[in-house]
Amino acid sequence: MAPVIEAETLSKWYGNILGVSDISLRLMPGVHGLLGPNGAGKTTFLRLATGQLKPNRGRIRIFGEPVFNNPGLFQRVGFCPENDAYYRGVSGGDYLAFLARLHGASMEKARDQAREALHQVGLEEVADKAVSAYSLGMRQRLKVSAAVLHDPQLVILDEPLKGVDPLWRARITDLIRDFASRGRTVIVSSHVLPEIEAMTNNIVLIHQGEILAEGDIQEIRGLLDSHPHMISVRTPQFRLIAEWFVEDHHVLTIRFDNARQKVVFKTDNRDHFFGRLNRFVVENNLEIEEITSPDDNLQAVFNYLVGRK
Amino acid sequence: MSETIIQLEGIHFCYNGFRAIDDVSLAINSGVYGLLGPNGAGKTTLMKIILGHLQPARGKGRILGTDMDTGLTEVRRRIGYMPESHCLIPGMDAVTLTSYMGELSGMPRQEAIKRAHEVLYYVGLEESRYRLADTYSSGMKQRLKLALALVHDPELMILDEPTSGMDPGGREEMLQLIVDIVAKGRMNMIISSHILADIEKTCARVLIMNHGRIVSEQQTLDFAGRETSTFEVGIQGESRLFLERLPGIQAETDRRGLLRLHLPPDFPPMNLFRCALDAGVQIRHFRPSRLTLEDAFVTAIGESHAR
Amino acid sequence: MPVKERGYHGWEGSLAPRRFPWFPISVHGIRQVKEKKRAKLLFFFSAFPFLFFLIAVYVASKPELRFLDEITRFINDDSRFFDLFFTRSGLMFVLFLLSVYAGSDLISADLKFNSIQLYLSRPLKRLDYLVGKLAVVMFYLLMFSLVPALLLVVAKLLFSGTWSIGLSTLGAILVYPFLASLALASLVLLFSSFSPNTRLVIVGYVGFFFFANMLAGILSGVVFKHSALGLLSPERTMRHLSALLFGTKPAMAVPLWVAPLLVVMVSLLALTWTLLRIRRVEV
Repeated sequence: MAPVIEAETLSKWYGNILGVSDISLRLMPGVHGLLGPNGAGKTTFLRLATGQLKPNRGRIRIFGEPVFNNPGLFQRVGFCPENDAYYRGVSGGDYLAFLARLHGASMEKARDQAREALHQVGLEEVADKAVSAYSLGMRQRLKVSAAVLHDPQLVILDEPLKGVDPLWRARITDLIRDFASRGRTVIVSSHVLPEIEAMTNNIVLIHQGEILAEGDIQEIRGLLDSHPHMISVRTPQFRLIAEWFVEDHHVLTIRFDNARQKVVFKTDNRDHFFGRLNRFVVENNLEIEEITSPDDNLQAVFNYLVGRK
Repeated sequence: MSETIIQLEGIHFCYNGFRAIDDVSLAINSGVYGLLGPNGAGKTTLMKIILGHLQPARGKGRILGTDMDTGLTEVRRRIGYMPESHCLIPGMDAVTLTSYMGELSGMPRQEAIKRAHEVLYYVGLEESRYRLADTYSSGMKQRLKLALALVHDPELMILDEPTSGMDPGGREEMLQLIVDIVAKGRMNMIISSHILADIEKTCARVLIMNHGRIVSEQQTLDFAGRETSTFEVGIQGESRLFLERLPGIQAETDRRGLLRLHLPPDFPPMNLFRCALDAGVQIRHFRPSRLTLEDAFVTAIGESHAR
Repeated sequence: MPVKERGYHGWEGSLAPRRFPWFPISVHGIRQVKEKKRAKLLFFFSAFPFLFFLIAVYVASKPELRFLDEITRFINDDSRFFDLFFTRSGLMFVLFLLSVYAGSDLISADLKFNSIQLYLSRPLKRLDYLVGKLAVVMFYLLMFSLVPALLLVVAKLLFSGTWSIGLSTLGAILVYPFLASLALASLVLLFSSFSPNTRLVIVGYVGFFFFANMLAGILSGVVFKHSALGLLSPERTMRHLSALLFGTKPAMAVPLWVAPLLVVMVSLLALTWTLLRIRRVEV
């Protein structure tokens, strides 16, 4: 299967300032989360991917075609930018119909597409109101629907859920997952990591102009050798369990939380640890309240790779 | 000791004939409250009423012991407000701006300056505190807004979208600051946010609003109490072999690949471990299934629509 | 000795209401004006009318320079002296420039950067905000009108050796700068509240004065041929006020009490309108 987005030694700098440096990437269909600190190169990468910037070195292709100066490509690509981009005085319905026409639909078809798109994001009641009168959340929803209006193969969304209330966050998340399940590709850039986790397990982490990690979150976590896995066990007999693991050389640290009756282990071999834990629980008839992996999530991966200032 | 921080009875407020607040009565005690709701639910209007910027058409209330009718200008001395929108005073560096705000809240000048430094250190702006605030990045501006709300050590803080515009590292730090402030003493907070994960991390209780009314009040940690016979289980190994040993037990796989098992009342949960051992799989995740805040929100809003 | 740990610490002091809640606004505002570009240059040139008159007082007291008889005469007539100082020394223009410099961005910058939301999150009323800003402009205007006038009084005392100033003149010396400053400050704040774009504010404010003067000239000189229409001109109205206060000959055929009434009314109207505009700002 051919990758949807392919970058090879992609580099962009602005004078002295580094945008991205030697990025190589192959993204397959599905949903990919794009994350990174501010100034990491995310915006530069997105601009390169949407043809707004020309690379200084290397290249980036979408559907096998070069991106820059290739307007025909954008029939198959939809983009939802972070900033507001609409014309003053235009109503939501008119705006979408206009975009549909730009993509080649007839006047009637454009109106239908616009109406359908507005319905999908819950804006059909305000279709005739000026976009400038919409709340921030409503404008976000409009932008998202504008990006998928022409049923593109690839959609790039930059902070699509900013200002959107929890109800519509969930619905748009479902919309995105649904869209991707039909063989499309979605790139979502966001600072809110729980949002990304709700949409996908595949991420691209950019920092200091480079890709630090790419792929499945759990797999990436597994590769972080310098950060042993944290496992938290909550049970009234938490100290008994700790006793059992004290002599185990695969357990690197043991931390107690008296208030919550928890013990948190760090181990470099999960297989070994869980094998022993499961047996110990059964053999001793223990009552376990909770077993979790507190650092097996995207925020932990981010913290470990990017670190905090 | 739990005291009533805010008490509202039968509050009504209209904007141009539109009922922004429709018969709201509530009692907010000490602690951290989350304020949730769809856009246009009335959250912002409610906050403005608490701050004394809007006068309700009907109803009464007490904010920090002061009756609303007498005017709430003085009460703002004891409130720290962190607005959602970008706001600062141009031409001032962070220290000057922070101490200025402290002075306006009633701090003597020298105290305000000292405290401004302290608070800017606390929010992580120590290295840029002499720079002009208009040169700050959006993450720094958020921290500055927090500093402005903290400088006079208020009794109640109202935070509107505190992590807006911050990158993942900044968000995490902001949430930790909020948790720390609460842990250290007597701060009460009302946090309004669209990001449920933030509310779950910082708030003990949640008020859900819709159409100008409070449609639900919950404890965030209480959600677990709702469904204790359902468990989330994460299996390493062939889950088929595991499930074979659980005949008649309803099981679903959720988005994260975890199993949700609905156990009958006569089935002790610990049996699951025995079954896992027999099946040659490892249980790596085990937790009573909790209704997430998202579920509770959707239910509350859905119910309020039906009414 | 107890250890101070990391994390949030409260503040042990107590927050007290101020007698004048707007006072910090004025202090900070005054400082900010002082730190603007070319402030010193402006202040230097603003002192010229005062310096000129100061030199005149000195010259008049020196017998060897008595040949400048004209000067001596006008200097010894206190009313006329101060009337000229306030209305024909270029001081009016200086005050106008100062009002633009100090006041044009006071409210408009706050509109642009959404500062009013910050101010009102404090225990301040919108009136406090307005008074605080007004005091900033008044400070500078009085600094270059009232203070120099009082210094000239002292100079006259020192150089002539006798206390010759009448009480009514002294009163006029206090009232005129106050009314003039109030009017200018109110107007510039009103214009400042019209737009977040300070350049637009300056154009509007300057344009208003220019237009008013022009209109007064045309209407009083050409169209209606009545000097009363000169009241449209701020400059002429102030001269009329000065004539009332200092007892000199008025230029317009209008009762003298009209001038202070007009000045006070315009000021109050401007302040009220500004307050209404401030009330409309969303916080």
